[in-house]
Amino acid sequence: MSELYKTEQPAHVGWAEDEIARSVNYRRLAKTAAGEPEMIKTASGSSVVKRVDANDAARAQKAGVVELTMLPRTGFRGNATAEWLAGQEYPIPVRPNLAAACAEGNWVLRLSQREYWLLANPNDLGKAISELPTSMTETPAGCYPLFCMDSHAWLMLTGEHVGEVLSKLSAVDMREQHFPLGSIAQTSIARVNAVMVRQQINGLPAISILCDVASSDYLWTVLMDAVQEFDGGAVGIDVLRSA
Amino acid sequence: MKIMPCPLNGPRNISEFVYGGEVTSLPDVETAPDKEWAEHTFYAYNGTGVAKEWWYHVASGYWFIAERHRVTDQILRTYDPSEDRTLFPAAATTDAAAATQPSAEAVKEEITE
Repeated sequence: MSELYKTEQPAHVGWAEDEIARSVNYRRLAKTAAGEPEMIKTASGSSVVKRVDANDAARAQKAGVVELTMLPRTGFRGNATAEWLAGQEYPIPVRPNLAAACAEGNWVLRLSQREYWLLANPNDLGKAISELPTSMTETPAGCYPLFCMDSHAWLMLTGEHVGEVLSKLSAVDMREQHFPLGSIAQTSIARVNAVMVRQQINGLPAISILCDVASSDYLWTVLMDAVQEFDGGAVGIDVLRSA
Repeated sequence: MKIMPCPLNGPRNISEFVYGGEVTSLPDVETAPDKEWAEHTFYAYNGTGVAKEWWYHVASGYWFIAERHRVTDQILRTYDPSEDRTLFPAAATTDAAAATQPSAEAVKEEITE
């Protein structure tokens, strides 16, 4: 074997657990922030941007874009999933393409008859979600963990104009009157397939966008361009956290 | 843009879908002669009438069946495969029946309940 192909890295690298693990959009955020942006550690040990600058709150009210890719999330699929999640006091949405919020702020997304994703809440920085099993040996028969933390990026639009921003990017009407709290749309935005969820977080109207992680670099530039019209821009995770 | 009604997600642009070929039944694995396998693999009906086809919604990773008229290209009906008696003779249809997209009003009602 050529020297070129040899590596000293171990087969498994725990990138997500490494404290320097950051999203692909971190460098861009670092450029928009005045100086180095403030960071905060998630429950899994990786870093997300806490605050971009002093005007975060104002931008978040209009059209903010939050990079939450490093915040824990997970998924489960199979016949026994709903029962198992309900046993852990997670709310089960009544049909596919609906989402439900837990009392503590985690969200359960029902993406098909037997597939559920769980999104961390920004207040505990994903502690509850990161403690859920990731191995099939720890879940009951008929309930299989999914790795949407690795496969998907998580961007969030916030503020009063979220529906209008997405009108520019998608054929599905995601304004509030047609896409109320808890609705899910699995469709393409700006030609990238994504799962969109209408939420309310820390009093802010928000739409989470879960797209293929390899497209998040492109989608970030698209979203930043789309929010210009509404005086929006990148914001840190602090706008989603209550006090 | 042509619109395809997805049984799981509701109406979506046709660009979100991938065609998966006609719904056909497999020849008898034990007894079918080579000729029948060759026909099953390489030949497709190319006439008129209503075609029953597999379609895939890429954004949600969902396979379903569409009935489409070959002359007018009109999509007549789409449904979950579990509703197809020829594919799943004994399968329950209750699950798939619940998977259709309701109106925004219905969603609001469900959430406020």
